[in-house]
Amino acid sequence: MKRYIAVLLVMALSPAAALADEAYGVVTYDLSFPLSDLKDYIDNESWRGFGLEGRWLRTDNISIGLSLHWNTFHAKSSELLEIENGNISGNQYRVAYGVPIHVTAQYYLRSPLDNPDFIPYVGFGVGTTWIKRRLEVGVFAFEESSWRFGLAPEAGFMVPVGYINYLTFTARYDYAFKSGDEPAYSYWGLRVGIVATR
Amino acid sequence: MRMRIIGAAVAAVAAMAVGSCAPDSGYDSISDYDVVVTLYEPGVDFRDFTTFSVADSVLHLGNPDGEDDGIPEVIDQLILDQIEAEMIRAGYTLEPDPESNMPDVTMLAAITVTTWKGYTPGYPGYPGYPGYPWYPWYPWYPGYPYYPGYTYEYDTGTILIDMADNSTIDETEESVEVIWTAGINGIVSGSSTTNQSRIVGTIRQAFDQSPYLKKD
Repeated sequence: MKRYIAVLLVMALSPAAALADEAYGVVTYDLSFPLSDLKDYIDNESWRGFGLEGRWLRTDNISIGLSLHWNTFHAKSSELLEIENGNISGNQYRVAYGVPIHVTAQYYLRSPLDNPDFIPYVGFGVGTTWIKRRLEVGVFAFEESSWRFGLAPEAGFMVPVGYINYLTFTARYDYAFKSGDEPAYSYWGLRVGIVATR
Repeated sequence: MRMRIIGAAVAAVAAMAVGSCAPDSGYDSISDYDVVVTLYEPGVDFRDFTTFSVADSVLHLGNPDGEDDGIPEVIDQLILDQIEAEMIRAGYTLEPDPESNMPDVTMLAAITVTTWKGYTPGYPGYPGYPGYPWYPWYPWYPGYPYYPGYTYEYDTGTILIDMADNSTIDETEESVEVIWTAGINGIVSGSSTTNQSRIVGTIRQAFDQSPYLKKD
């Protein structure tokens, strides 16, 4: 896996194969919704998230890049915790962070080089995701964090808006594989942001 | 113009990065931090037990020799009385003469207080800077003042309640099997009335979250 990521990184960052120096910087605000085991732990949407991406156009319709997103989920709970042969009661504060760092690829159904009014695209990211889970009960806190293999398919569109270059809207699904005793975590979200081109 | 947009984008990213941190839990009352843990011995059928007794004193773990540890005596009696009340509420019968008639189980209690100390460092002041007249997005910044560090100290109290199965008493080993344990922890309030109220409530919670103890 590390070898594949290294190859993708070289392809993405190689200036020799860049097409007309077309590069994009993307900044997004992320709204995310937990799924499966993450939803069992925190059944609250995340209004605290952002993303940073760099993309380099390789052909008329394909770009490759790097992305980093940060999503914070948090919730209070007073439900009785079940443990082996017992229970714990007390006010809980639950926090989970999802930080995917991916190599990405995007396919634009209309080439940005043609300056269309509307550019739908699909994309896929693969890389590593840092997950941190924190549970506070009373004056006690328990934390667990790990780096996992992660995937993120997405679909969205870009709309040219003059000097900013583009507004972008994306729907994305993030999946972080299980690590040790910790289950897999997944969430989906909506990203809205700006795309600046060089 | 492009620099303004880039500057605004950088500021927006910085704001979102800071905003993406988890907020404070919002728990601001001392009682919000009370925790009750209960554990039971698997395979034990509590319906086998009917009579009980309560130890006549609470063991002070921090001062087993009986020296003054700052815990008022009224707290000890409150704990013993509440345990007795909860056991009766759960359907058990108090054995009036445990020395002559061994009850099925005996309730034991212990208490300790732990003092926590810490220091939060301050930070030096940061001078402000003048605005740039040709960039209206960068106004004069006043800076922020020096903030001194401070020390803090607080006490947490822990109450332990054990239910001992008297049929397992081993006089040779001086041991007995504990079949149910409750651990209660919370921040000690400066108000004795509040502490007593919370002790009553958390001991009740320990029994409420252990429905297998109840006799139907």
